[in-house]
Amino acid sequence: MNEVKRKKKTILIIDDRKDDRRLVKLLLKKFDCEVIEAMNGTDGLDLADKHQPKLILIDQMMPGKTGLETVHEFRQNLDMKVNMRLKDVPVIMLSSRKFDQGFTDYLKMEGIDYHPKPVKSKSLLEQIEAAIGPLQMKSSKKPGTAAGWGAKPKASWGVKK
Amino acid sequence: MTNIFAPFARLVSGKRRERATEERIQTVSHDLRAPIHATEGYLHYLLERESGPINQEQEEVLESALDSLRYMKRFIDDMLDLAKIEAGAMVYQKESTDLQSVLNETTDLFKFAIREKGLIFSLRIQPGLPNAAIDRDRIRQVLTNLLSNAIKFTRREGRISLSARANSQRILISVADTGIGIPEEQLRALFARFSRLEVERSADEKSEGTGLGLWIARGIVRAHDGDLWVDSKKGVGSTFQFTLPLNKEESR
Repeated sequence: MNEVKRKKKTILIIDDRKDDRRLVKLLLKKFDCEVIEAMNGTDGLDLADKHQPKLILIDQMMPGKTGLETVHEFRQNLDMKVNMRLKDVPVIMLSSRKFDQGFTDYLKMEGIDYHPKPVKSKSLLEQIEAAIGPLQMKSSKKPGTAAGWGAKPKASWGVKK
Repeated sequence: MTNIFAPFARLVSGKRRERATEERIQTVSHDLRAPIHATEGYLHYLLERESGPINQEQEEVLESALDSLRYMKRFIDDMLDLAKIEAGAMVYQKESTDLQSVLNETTDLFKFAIREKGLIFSLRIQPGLPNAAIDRDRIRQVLTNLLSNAIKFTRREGRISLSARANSQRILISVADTGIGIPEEQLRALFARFSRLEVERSADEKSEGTGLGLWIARGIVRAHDGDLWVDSKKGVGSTFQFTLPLNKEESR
């Protein structure tokens, strides 16, 4: 494996709540990926444009743009605003909206995966791996799988930057 | 008592703006639930062994914490429903509805609990039952409340029967059980806010009620121009019945 060329997978989390973003970071800290975060849709779009994430996790209910509006902004060419660099990035929507078949059907139609809050660690990791392929454990050289709990990570789960 | 609701009442004051009020309450509901969801997420993280092995005692502690949070979410939902009903700000989307599907959907939710408790369940719907003019989700909420009470207060191998029939004016739905029944002295206060049967706390702590369910259920039924009442005898069982309006355009 070529260590130099291998690029870390970047995952962008857009959620107005710090505790929700922190949980996702906690969940991903043992994997060799970079997690970047934004508090709202507008900042999220800026970050996404700058960092070209492999995956976007986004909350639906946020002040300002909702999650869905944010996704529409880079995916749909309603007013020719479609961002060609981002339009194929997979999206998993996190929402605490009560179960509503109509809403989840709509998301499916739009090709947006859905994970209801509260976050269930294993099933969210499965959804993430289904979207971007197996995640690599930080401490091991071989591709790990999210199904196990793997080696103890050394890093604390504070914000990296 | 009224002071407790003052903040909620203020939230929902402003008549004729039911829709806006409902939306505001939805936002409050979301803001109250969000930290609970985050906490649940963290507990699941530990329970699913993401941070390493845990022993049985730790697992039980985490499960208990999750139970408490689930109760808190039910309580928030019920408090907000109460606030909406009190302020007359509950928005009902009444449309012509096939009750059979609502009854089936609701009983599906309880199939597991019924089987687990070894209860005998029957559903009888009058053939050709006409459509009702109702808010489907809200009536499902009423049925869910009545059925979960019936299951909670009926001992193993007891019987629960749900039935629906119509006359020329209205539809009558009945949920009858052979459960522990309600003592006469508690019957009158049953529909009051924060009314809980005395046996309830010890019966099943996991599904402890908020004491608001029946009050809300009756509020919903009354907003449909119907009524909800109970007949009960201690040691024999309880029958809750409520009426719903027919969909006028279709009845002939």
